[in-house]
Amino acid sequence: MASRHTHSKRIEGLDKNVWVAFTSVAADPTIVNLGQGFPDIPPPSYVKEALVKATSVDKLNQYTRGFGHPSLVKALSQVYGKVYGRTIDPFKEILVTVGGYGSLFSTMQGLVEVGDEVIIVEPFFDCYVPMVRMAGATPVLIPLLVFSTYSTSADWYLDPEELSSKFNSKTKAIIINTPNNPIGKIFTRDELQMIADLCIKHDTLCFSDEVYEWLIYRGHQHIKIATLPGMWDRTITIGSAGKTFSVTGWKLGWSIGPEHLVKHLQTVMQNTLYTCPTPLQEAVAQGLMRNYELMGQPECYFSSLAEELEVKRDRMASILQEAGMSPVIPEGGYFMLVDVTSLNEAYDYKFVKWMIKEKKLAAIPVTAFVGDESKKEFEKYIRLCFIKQDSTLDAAEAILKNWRRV
Amino acid sequence: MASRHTHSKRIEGLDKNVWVAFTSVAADPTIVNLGQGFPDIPPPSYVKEALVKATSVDKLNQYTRGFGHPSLVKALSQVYGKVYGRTIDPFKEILVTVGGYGSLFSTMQGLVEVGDEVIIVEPFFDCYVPMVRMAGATPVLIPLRLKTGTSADWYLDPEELSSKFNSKTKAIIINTPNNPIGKIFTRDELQMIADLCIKHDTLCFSDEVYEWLIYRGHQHIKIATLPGMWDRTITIGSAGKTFSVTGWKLGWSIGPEHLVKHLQTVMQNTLYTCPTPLQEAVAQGLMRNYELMGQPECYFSSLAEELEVKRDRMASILQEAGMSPVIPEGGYFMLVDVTSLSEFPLILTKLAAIPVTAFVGDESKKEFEKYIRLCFIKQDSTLDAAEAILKNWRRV
Repeated sequence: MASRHTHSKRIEGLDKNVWVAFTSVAADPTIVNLGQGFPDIPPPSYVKEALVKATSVDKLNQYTRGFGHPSLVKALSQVYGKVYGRTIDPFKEILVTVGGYGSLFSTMQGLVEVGDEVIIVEPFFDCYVPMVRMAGATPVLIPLLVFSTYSTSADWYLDPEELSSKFNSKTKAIIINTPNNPIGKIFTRDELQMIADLCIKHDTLCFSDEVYEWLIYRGHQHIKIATLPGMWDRTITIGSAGKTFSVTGWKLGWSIGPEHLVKHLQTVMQNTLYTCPTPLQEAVAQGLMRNYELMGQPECYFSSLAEELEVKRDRMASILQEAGMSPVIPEGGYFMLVDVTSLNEAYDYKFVKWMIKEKKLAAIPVTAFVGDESKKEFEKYIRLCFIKQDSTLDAAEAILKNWRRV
Repeated sequence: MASRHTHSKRIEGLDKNVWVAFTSVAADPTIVNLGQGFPDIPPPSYVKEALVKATSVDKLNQYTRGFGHPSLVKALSQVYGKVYGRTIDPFKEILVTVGGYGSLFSTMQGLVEVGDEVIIVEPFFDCYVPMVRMAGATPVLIPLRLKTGTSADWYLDPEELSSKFNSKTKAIIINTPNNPIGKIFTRDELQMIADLCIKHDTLCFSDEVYEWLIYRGHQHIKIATLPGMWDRTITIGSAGKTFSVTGWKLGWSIGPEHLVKHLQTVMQNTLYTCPTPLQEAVAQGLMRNYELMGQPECYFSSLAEELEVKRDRMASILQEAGMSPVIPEGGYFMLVDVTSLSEFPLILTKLAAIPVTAFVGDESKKEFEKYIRLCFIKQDSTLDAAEAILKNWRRV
């Protein structure tokens, strides 16, 4: 009998997952799914065409360079070289991974030691805590606080003294996510400088999850903490093809940083997965080079997608306001938080489950993105995804208009 | 300064890698590359067409089920249900991973504990040892020993094997057909291993990525089908090897729910999900061939027939050049004993191969240093070019 064989300690307590609970629910086609974050709008046609073309070339169906397909890392080097305003070595300062997830994992496994502490800002993308724990390290949480009258994600902030108190000699890194999922906050230059000052003072690393970096709404600017003085050498910045090109199912991402850090992520890659799929990498490379040429112009997808989404954001917000709810208008990303207190119907998971069953509308409870101590503060919020086609938003609107007429 | 920030202990000593050294050499287009194991023959057209079709469906470019795209796990359940002769639950007994590599990694991370021992048969696919070490466990090596000249003549010494098992042994990793030798473990050999697994209550991680590449007169046996083994075995397969699309990096782990669920936990906390369009295309390829199983058009057997011709041609080319090939029973690699050559000028010639010492531990290097590994899943023009080089070997 194999009864003594159980899971390894490193995955102790990591079997629960919010998505498993909600994805099956949302698979029901009668439910309007604003829960899990993926587009139901089509990807750009040239990206799909590039995949078709890639798979027609025999050698592009075979193994490529482990740390990233040459045409892709070169394209990334071009695009980000321009964005960062520095030369980025495609072979030593870039690693291609299986989505932003894969970059986070390679970073944790390559750099985080058993017994380290890693600071995480709440609300956080839910995989950060399990990944820190799987590396045998301790997550140290700090919540974003909100002004009592708020309306946008800019009204959420970190308390400087509280943040400072989280750093100590065991701190390996701080994870930041800007634009933030689920709130949509874009960290300002001053906020990033405050974080940078602490990283430099305590000699910690910074893992900056910037997968939504192109989804920036008017009046706001995305700033890369790695471009602040003293930060390039201690920062890993994460990007995503899935979010950049609306192809979340392609699962390609990248880590960019200094060689002395990236090489350890590459070691992880070479001993865990070896390489990412070739035809997908070739197609993403084509998409990047095409848009590199268009950077700064209105046709560039890096900015045109944000314009398209801003309209949806504003529409989503008014639909919610008309239904008597209080949305938090995001500065970036494609999620919107909604305070459901005024609906007088429970909170949190209970609310969302009721809403899915009774109203046929799916969302995600924001407590999925915070630690136990912060659950009380966040239980009144649900997260809605608005990177959806008009017919989906129409259907959501119909449900929300009729909310009170039951 | 970030000077105190170095690599985590879990990757200590794992930065070296044989492929990095050789892949750049073989990137030179004037070199005939029989080194790294990938086909230069085209994949079946219907598989590529299935990918084209998948990407044209918008939702197939978005996230799918984390543990495996539904149409793929159902197809795997069908194909392997037939092969194993048992019902396989597509949702609880299968995990889709990023290649065979990803299955190996999920298995190690999910089941192997710090301080465990894991038995590995030499020569081994080179990632087994680093993965065991990265899990904080100790690799315990046992070499295949040679009687005479075909891959069937390599065997495990029963007493030696038995001596490797103890109370710390978490698992034994077997690879059949074996890379690089091409040995197919016989039923008796698998039974010997199974008996030890049962006696010591250890797990078995069976890497069977080359399971379809079986040459005439031989049969692939799944250790998980032996009595008492299903409940303690994870069996690994590969779309890349099955459909000649190594660059698609899709694989799968099949086993009992009480073990697979831990691999699924790893998946959900490391990568979350595999690429959707590739999974859909592989599902199409599997269902098409499921219908053809047992018939000559089935790719699972037609590829092996195609490769057997190449195997035999490679062997005679080598023999004519005065070398001693080890004729493989399965897989697409061939070991060659290069003792008869007065020099070992491979890197200096235009023919790339891999030294077999890359696949063994330090203590076995002496026994294996006379062998190189050649990959023969290559189109005729590649084999022609290899032949030309080898014919002229002695005329330098």
